[in-house]
Amino acid sequence: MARLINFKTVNQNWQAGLTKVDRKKVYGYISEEVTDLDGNLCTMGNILDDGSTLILPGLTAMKTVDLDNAEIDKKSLKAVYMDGSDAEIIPSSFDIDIELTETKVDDLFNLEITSIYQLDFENDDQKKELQEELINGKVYGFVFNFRAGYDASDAILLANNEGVFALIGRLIEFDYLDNNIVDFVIDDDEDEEDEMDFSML
Amino acid sequence: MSRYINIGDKNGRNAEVLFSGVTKKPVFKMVTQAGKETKTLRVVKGTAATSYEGLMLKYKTSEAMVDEILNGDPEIDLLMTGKYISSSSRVYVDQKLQPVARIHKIEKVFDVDGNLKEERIPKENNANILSDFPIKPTGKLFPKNSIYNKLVFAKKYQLSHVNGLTFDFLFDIAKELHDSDSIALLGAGPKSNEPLVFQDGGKTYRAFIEGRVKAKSYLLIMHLSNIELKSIT
Repeated sequence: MARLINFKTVNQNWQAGLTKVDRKKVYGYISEEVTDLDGNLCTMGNILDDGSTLILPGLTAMKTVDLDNAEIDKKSLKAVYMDGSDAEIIPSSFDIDIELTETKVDDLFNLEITSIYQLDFENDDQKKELQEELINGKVYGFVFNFRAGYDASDAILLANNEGVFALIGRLIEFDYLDNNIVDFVIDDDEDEEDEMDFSML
Repeated sequence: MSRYINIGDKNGRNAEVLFSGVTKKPVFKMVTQAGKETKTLRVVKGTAATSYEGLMLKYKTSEAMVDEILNGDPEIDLLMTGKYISSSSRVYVDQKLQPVARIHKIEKVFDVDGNLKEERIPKENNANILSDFPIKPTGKLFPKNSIYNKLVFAKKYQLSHVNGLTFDFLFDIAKELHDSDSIALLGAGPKSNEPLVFQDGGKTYRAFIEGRVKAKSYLLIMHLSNIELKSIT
């Protein structure tokens, strides 16, 4: 059994592990095989901007540098909030109790979701209790942090007949629009790789 | 950054309006102990020629390669190692580590247990969000309080008007959805039954549109979904 998270409300507690849900596990997956015209397998590489140097996956590294491009040991860095004050580390959700707050379905529609987890309960009675509570339309919001770090995610707990799920991501505060024209930066480059990271089969 | 989309309504009206995502603002940054700014750069660790594959091509056998590494430094490119990478272009590479200009692609489709189901030629998708056929609601409405726990609405884009006429147009769409407390499936193509493709050669997405209104203002969100909320055990 995986590590358990303790979810709690004012007068209830549930313990569950998390199993990541993704398209591969739900629908299967597609792998692309690329060959040259003689049928020999090809791999992906990168040509540097000198036009001749070829590098293969795994042959680059990320380095932290100062504004003069001098390398800095990452261990010597500290995290600060954007206003410059020292950032406080947020513990992993596996190491603390998760406080659930009842929220609205609209919050779910404001949540840009990056990860889906299915809750695995050791105690079937707990699963049944929480699933029944959520299946009737209740949703809980909470703050989630898989690993200790400085930036926790927003999350929503909900259920259907299949199980209880935690949807992790970022709550977006959308602005309602009036009949005014805002200056937009238009992106005309249709070939640019967009930031969406999921596909249909 | 905004892009145009040609969207229609159930009354046969359509307009080119803007859509954009909401970029996440950073919450924290890493600085030196003295509080000085830092940045992250990508650097070269090694080139194809100095990689394991490159050295095997050159020295033919593992034993010969090991001897060369022990006697010299063929695995290090002193000119390139540590060089900052400002930009690069992705290329396919053959087994001789040469760029390949003409390739053949096959998609292999596997089921959830990893069994090969099908091999097929990949379909090249053309962008369809700004075509002659507007993106339109397919007609079926999904009440929010019954769809919220069936699909995962991962990515969100906000639609925006570009003038007074398109304000009215989008406001009306938002109001109808708001009043019905539902979202609508969007479809592309002549029959409005195709998934959305945002750029040529891009992936396909199922999109739903949600509308909210508050007094004289509106909010239209395009939700992209590609997975149902299903148990995997």
